[in-house]
Amino acid sequence: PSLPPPCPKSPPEYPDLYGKRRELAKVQVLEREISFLEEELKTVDRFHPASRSCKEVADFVVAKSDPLIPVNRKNRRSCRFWKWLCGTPCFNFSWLSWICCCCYSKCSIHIELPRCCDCSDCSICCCRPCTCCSIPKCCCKSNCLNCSCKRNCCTCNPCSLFF
Amino acid sequence: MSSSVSELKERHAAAIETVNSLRERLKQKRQQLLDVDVAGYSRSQGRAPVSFGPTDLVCCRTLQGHAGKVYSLDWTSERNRIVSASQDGRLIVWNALTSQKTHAIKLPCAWVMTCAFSPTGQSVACGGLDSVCSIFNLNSPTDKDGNLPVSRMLSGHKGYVSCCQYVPDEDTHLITSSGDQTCVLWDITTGLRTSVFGGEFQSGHTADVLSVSISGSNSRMFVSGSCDSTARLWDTRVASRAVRTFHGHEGDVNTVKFFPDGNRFGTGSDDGTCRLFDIRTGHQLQVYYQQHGENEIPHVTSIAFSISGRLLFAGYSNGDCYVWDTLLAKVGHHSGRIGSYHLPFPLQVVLNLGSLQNSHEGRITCLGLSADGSALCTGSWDTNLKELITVMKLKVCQYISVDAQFDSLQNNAGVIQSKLARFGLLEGTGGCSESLGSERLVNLLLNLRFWLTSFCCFLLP
Repeated sequence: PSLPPPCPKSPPEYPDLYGKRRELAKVQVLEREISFLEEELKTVDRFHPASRSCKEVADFVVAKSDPLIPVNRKNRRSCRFWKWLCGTPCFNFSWLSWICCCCYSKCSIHIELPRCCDCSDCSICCCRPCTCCSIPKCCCKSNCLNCSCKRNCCTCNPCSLFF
Repeated sequence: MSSSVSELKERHAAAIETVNSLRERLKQKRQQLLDVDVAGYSRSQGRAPVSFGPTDLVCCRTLQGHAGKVYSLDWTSERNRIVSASQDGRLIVWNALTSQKTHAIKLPCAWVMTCAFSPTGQSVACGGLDSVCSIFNLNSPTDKDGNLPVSRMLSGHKGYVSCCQYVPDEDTHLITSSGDQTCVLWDITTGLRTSVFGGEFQSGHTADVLSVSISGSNSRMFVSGSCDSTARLWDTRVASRAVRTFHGHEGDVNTVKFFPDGNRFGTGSDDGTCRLFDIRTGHQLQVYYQQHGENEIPHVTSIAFSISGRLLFAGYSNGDCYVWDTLLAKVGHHSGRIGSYHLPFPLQVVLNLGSLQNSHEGRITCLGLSADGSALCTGSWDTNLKELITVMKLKVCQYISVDAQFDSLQNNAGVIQSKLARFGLLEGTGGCSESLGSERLVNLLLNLRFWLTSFCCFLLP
């Protein structure tokens, strides 16, 4: 008579010690994190508001000399001159626009200048904002003859030719 | 009766929910304490913005010599030397004043990610994908192949070494950060780990750690930045847990740097922002971010503070290097290509060094200030280090490029010296005052021409 086919037994079910220990370790880490967070919640009420830290930063910065910060006394005189010259709003006259081709908004000399490009008439405009000064630039396409763009910034040719 | 695995999993899920709830409560409480940020406070005090003239920050020299992407650089604490690491498999030690290469160290593993100068300047450390931090003594004799031998290998990390920094004033200890989610304090003399911060089953970062910065005023404190979007403050005497965790970023924290006062630190992240945090309270004091429209947001790869903390230099993955006014955090405007025309207008708060002539062509990976704060060096994937020296100190308008070949170092030294003397760059040559005078005259003439022209146009009918 033929022997019955082999029927190996399944291995005995050992307790999943490795998985259990890992799970326990993860739980312990989280419970430790919970205690740290509860501790921090208690102490955060005792912290002073951010304004005090901001004052400390400002006081430190102003008190320390820095070779990279230029000391420029001439700016004040030129600021007052340009404020007088430009008025508000500045350079509404289109015939002046060729002098100033980039906008300084909220600058210390308060010149409001026309944008580099009025994209509504420019058939080659892509109108992506300038990464340097957030002004829609004339164009950044490779075959654009009117604008030279580097890193998405517009420099209008009339101005650069003049200077 | 011990818990079963399924019970433990339930406890795990409940613990996660509790952690999230506590974090949310903490976030709300912190929000109530953020009454103002640094920019708001500074504006209320009437602080004037920093303004740069067109010749105040110029690229003074390009250090050429690496044949692969530059990943890291570090200045000495004196004597103006720079060490740079590149994936051409070399560390190069440069004399920053003359651009000469004093050492070109062939590395055992080319995949280097970080380098650091020891406080005395006698050793350099580097680390990378080999998971080892290697130390080289610059005064050691070279081997028979002319290579500088490794004087110590710090092995123990289970992942890549992303950043290393020597403990200030100690040539024998340094701290590394790693892709194995830990930071380690090493004793270089023995080559052993003194402390491990974080790791599996420890309270620490939960993802790769990318950067460390040690406080200059208290060398027991350091901060780390990680892919888990947090920065953590550590006390080297307490390795079991971080002193504080700083949340806020929405992407990998690629770089951290202590503020000069030692009580704050800056971070730079994949979310495109730099942030300023207070270490004592955990407050987020300021966010530095500029809109980029619909374009992909460039990641912040590296940051450095000027010596007073007023300026924050930030390198981005698109090659830009912004100079932020830390007090006003304003996005200003400037005249564009500063090198191409000299407008008399003062430049605004944020200066994009990437728009200067001779700026980098590729991603900026590293930057650092010299010890005296007068020079900034940037490193890039275009394989060059570029060094800007404040014109206030040296008054240089010219761009000098010196590509000193390492083998002909002696021959070129004389040429380099005479070039530098001509432009007043050599200490004691007295050339500075001459260049100062001529530059002032040029600027005055340009100003005059501009104003006269404007007047004429104004008077036209």
